[in-house]
Amino acid sequence: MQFEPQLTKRFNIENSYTLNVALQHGAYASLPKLFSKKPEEVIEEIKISGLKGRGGAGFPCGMKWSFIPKNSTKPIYLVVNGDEGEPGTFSDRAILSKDPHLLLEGVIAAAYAIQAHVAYIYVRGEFFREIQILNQAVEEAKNSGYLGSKIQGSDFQLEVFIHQGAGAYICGEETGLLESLEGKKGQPRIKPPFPAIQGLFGCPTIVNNVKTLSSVPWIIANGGAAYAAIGTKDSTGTHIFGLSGHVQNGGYWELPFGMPMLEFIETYGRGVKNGKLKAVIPGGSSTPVLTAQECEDLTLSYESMAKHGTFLGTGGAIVINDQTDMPQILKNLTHFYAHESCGQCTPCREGTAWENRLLQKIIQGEATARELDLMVEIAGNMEGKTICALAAACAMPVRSFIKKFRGEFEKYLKPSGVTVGIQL
Amino acid sequence: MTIKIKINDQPLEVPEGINILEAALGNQIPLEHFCYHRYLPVAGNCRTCMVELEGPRGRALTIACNTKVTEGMVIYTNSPGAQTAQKSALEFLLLDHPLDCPICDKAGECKLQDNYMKYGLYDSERMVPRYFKGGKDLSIGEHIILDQERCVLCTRCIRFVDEVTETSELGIIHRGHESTLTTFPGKALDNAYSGNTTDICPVGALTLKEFRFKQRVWFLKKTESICTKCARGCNLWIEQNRETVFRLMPRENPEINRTWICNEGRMSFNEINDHRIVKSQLYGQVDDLGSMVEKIQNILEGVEKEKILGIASPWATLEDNFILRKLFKNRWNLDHLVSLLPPLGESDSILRLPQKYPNGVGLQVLEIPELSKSIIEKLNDRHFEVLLVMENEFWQFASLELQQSLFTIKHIIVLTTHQSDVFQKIEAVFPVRAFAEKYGTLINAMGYLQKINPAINSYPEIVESSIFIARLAQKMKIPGFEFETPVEVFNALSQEQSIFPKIRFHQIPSHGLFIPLDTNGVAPAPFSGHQKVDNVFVRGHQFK
Amino acid sequence: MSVVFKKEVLDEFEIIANRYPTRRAALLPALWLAQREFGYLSLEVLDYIAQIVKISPVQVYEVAEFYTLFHKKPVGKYHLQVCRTISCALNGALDIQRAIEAHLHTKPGEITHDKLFSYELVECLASCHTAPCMRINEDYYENLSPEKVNEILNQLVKENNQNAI
Repeated sequence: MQFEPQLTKRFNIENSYTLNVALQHGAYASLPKLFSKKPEEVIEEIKISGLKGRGGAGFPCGMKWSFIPKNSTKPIYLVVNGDEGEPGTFSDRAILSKDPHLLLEGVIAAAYAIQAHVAYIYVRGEFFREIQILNQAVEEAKNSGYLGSKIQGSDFQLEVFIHQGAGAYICGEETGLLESLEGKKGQPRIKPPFPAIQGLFGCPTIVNNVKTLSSVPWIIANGGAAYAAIGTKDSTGTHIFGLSGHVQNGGYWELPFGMPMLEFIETYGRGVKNGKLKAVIPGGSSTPVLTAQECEDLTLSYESMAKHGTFLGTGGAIVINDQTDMPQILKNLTHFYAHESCGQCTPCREGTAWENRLLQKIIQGEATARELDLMVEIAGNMEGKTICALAAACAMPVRSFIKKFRGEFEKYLKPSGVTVGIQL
Repeated sequence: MTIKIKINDQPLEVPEGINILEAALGNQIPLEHFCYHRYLPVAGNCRTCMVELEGPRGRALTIACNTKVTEGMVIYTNSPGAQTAQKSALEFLLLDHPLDCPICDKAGECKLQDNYMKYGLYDSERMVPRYFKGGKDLSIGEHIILDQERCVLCTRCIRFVDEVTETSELGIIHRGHESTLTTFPGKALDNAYSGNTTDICPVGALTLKEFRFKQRVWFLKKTESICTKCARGCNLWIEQNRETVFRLMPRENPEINRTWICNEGRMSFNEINDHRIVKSQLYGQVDDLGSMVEKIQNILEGVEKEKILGIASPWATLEDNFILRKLFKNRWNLDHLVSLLPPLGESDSILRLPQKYPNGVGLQVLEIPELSKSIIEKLNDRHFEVLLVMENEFWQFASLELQQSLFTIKHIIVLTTHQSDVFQKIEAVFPVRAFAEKYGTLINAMGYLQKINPAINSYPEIVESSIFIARLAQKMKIPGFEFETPVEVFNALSQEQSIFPKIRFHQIPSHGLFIPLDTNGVAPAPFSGHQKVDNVFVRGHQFK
Repeated sequence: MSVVFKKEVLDEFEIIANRYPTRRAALLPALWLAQREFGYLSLEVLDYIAQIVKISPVQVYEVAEFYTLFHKKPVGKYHLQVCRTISCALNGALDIQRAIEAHLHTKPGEITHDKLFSYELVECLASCHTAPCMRINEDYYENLSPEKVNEILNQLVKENNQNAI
């Protein structure tokens, strides 16, 4: 597919993470144009571009920025969500290590648009090497006048700090991340108030994903309309799509939205490994699973995913071949969510672990159809009833796996009619 | 300002700015809740107060505690969607609960029990072995026992120690279903208000050592009263069974103590039961009441009226002090009626005031002065022949010098509630009713006139100080003392004292009556610097 | 052992703390520093961190117990974090676990007798395209196979022995 890479253009250049090399290949080129615009014009440009949040929820980025109150007397913060933890997702890590200056360029643009003068980049704790690279990039940018006061001759001032996470999936949720940044457990906050009004340290805050912000420099340089012309009508621009699981060639590739999923798997993943395609989890482990058949007319776009009852999520697809036992895979996932539930809301705290325990019982061959139905009921009682989406992120795989592959679960069941007493 | 809303199709008018949960509870519409507490920040974690709101895109579930009512809001607490959410949240909470209600002190006032009976009533279907959530019977402080497996992780106690006492001794460690309430290992939950965590714990996770295994709560009878341990006058429930007080519980009063009391006040229940004096004593020996009364009557009638010194009390009620004052005013020399106040004690910006007595303001209202220099001079001159002390155990706190001069007075008559060694030195000691045994009024440091009521009647033969003095006055044929109860005394004093509105005892509201006094403003408002509670609930609705 | 930061570390901490308007926000960085300095976060360390961050000890305890990368007990010189989540599981994470357990004779959460290795299972490390993967201390090891694991572990033992000389 012919297109101009925006996010990965410097990935294959040696030492692209250093300022010198990045500058030679166009880093920070969008800044003069950025500072020639008023902040509200920048927001407008992003709105025109149709850029959606790449962290998973897909919320329109320009609209999010416009929620920051005008004439705030409190400081405004920009927070970068680099807590990449959704199973099946790994491209933020690539940007952080291969082109940190692209992210910083996006950070400058976003901070300018919302008039934030401090930005925190929250990076998941495991990315130790990436943090080293990022720290060096910030240092270099500061020394060369890309960060600090009067950035590139403008009146704009911005300080960027790197904050290392410490191992908690839930900190990828924006308010969980803010809590963590404030030195607390990463437990999501009840909303309202929303972060744009009362976020970090009680001040107006925008939290954006690494890829979202890395998409911004191109939009500033080329205009929102040009960005909107790429991809599909409702999924504009490019995205770094990932493939993992049973593919010959796992990896990530920047593509405009709209490529058919099967073509993606064939062309880039070089096909399914050790068998035929059975299922795809299209956008990180939380998104509902699709059968091979459902994938036939699926494209990599927000709207096609929605049409199939699932989500684009983070754009990291997990491919599953026909040799795979689906209950085992679901158990792997329920274990993940039970382990990562922050423990705050009752339905998620108890529900994730309950699902995991029930599934374990099913797989051990000790359950009847009642347990399987109970799993679906519990999923219903979790979804949409908690502060954040982690409960739903567990409920969606549970429901879709059992609905679409019920036969595989039933193979594990004891014949119905056998009474199983409640163990106390 | 009120606004119009609808809950379950019922049109309601509620104060602007309150949340849906308060709007529902304030209008007697039941709604399940655990983590919400009126005087703590909203946590929104138990997910049991789910309601459905009518919106442009149909009905949507939300938690009632974190949603403010708005004009025209249409709310359902009983729709199938809301009920499923409430029921299932409860089911999740009960999933690994030990159900050890038969040995749990919270049984009978446990939100898990109550809510299950009201909203749950499903068939239990865990289908997997129970997960054990942690330790039982852990002593985490002088007064507090923690049972981790009963905990529903509502964080009420954590928010209390974070926001009210600002001592932060409690936290939840681990994640997911392994989350466990704990203190830092080796550090105790020992702040001056720690007992409140056991009240606000909706289940039996935090219990009070002093109440554990003492009494089933359903046997307890509750009486409205006031704490007498300091000038705040925190509102209390006295809870007793068979004339024994088992605990003192805070009674909600938004202006005075919200739903809190300090540990000192809470633990004072022991004083109600223990070391009481119930028989009159002559130099420490029990003696016949009739003959002793006759004896002191003779003394009082025989002595020059200028030679009688009276000590009123900041622990006694307005009625007691009023009657004593009336006797001095009508018969003896009012200049010789003084009060003795103990030294100032510990205080903070939450509740505790340094004045460790409940009715100092009452003495000021009755214009009974503190012991003055001129009285002390007269004492040193051995001027007085009779000392009449009412509910003022000066031997506990007065300077040795002062005690010595007081004990030189020839005839000492004491009305008191509790036993003491000094009685051997005192000619006549008469037992009177303590605060848990009588009607009466107190004025707190903020200027609230508040009622106490008899919770127990262990010693029906003894009377209140006011009635004892009134009867003595009647015996002495002094007119104007025809009172049979403190209530009659109050009704008379509210007519006489210009400062009171002309009300009768039963008209004093249970949350007190604010009286504009010169002394107001002396005491700091409670919770200075803490979250304000104006307009957060429907007035008159007690939070449980 | 008295747990106190050396002066340089304390200075380092103060520089970090200045990045935030509240001192508490420097808690995670403080715990990272403490883990670097003391190897793991004992209760004594947590109590010390509470003092320098000026919050209550239980608030530090909560945070230390919440995040999986903070070690609450001693770990080996080489700490292995092996991913067990979906993409790695689909690509043989279980074989990797078995290989490690056979090689080190440890179970997840344990430390070897010589205190050289400790091993734990962790959730997704965001390296799904190079599954199965693990982290050893700060570095990722990707596209693993049981043979490769044995090679890596042998190499680390060798490295350690050389350093000892």
